[in-house]
Amino acid sequence: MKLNNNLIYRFEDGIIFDTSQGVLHELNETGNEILKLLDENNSYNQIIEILVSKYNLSEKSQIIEFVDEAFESFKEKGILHE
Amino acid sequence: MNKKLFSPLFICWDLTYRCNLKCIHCFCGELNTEEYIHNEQIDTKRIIEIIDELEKLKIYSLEFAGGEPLLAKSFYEILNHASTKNFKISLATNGTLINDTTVDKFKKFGISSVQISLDGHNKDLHEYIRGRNTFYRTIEGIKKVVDSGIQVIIATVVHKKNYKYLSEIANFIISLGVNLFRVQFILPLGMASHNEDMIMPSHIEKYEALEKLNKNINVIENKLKVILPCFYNKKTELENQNSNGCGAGILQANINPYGEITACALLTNKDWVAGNIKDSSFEDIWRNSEVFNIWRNNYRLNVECKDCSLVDICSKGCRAMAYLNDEFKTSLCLGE
Repeated sequence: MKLNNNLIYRFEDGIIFDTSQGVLHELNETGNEILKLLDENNSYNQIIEILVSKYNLSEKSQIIEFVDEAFESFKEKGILHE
Repeated sequence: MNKKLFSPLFICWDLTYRCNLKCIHCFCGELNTEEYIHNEQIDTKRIIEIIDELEKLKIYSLEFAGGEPLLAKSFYEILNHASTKNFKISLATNGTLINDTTVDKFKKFGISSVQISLDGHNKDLHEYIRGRNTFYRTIEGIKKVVDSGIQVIIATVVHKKNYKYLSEIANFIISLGVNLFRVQFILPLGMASHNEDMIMPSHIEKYEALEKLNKNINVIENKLKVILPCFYNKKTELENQNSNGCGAGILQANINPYGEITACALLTNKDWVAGNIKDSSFEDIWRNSEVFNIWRNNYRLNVECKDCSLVDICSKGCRAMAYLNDEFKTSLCLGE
């Protein structure tokens, strides 16, 4: 999955600006963190591993749930493409 | 959205108000005299320093405008320096000074798009506000940039004579090989404030213009993408929609030839100057200016807007227009 080309992503502000529609999306903290990892060319599995390691969670399922929810939301908003 | 961003995404830099034309609607036309121009444009060294700062601030897009930016002192030196940074660089010009040499430089310095003003599909409509002997020179300029492969945006100011012909203008633009069409409305500023009767279409005429454009087959089939003013709305049913309204001071900032920073180019009144890059960093002005804070805090969002069911669509309209009109609403207010 990759960010669509018409988007400007700014991690510092937690925003995405869609230049084709002139629409600004504000990200929540989790979404911003996941999108930053994606923007750094990490795969879905790598993102999960990085977050599990960062938050020192033994149970992966919660992280997977967060990531899946975020990806779903990004796709709905037209932020990501395959 | 009133969030204060780390830095704006878009900067428009009016490098000079000098211009080879004397358009009767120009917001800065009154400043296009030797007396004013003598005092403008900060030195090139400082411009270069600010460009370096803008890169550090992760500005996405830098547009050079004016006046006529091709007449700015050291323009190509500035452009050359900007081209070494990670910006999307664009230019807004009247097109009459574009020749093979300028286009070669645009390509060399990585300009990604050039906005050229064209106000009619024929000489009479265009020259009504731009002046004599401008139409064919502009067309030549457009053709040269199109042939170079650089993206061209045609910007048309809707005026009293051309408002009925936006669809014809749209077809003409397609025939020139351009597929981006920016529609602009005149604000009662500068030269326009002296010529309102001659040039300013009425509220109804503006709607009529957009309705005709909306029915244009090239627009319907998306062969021509229409870019409406930032505050425009879904009521036109044009696909181009902006749910954030005016981005002035929030997503974007303007630098004028004197080095003054404002939320948008049209806020020329001294009350809205947030600071000057001659004596402050851009970052400091953007983050700490009291003027910006006031501006971002829903400046003049009056009771009427607060209660309006359409406020989420129009996002309070053009704030510069609201300020200029002193009547809170924009000239395209959709409220009942």
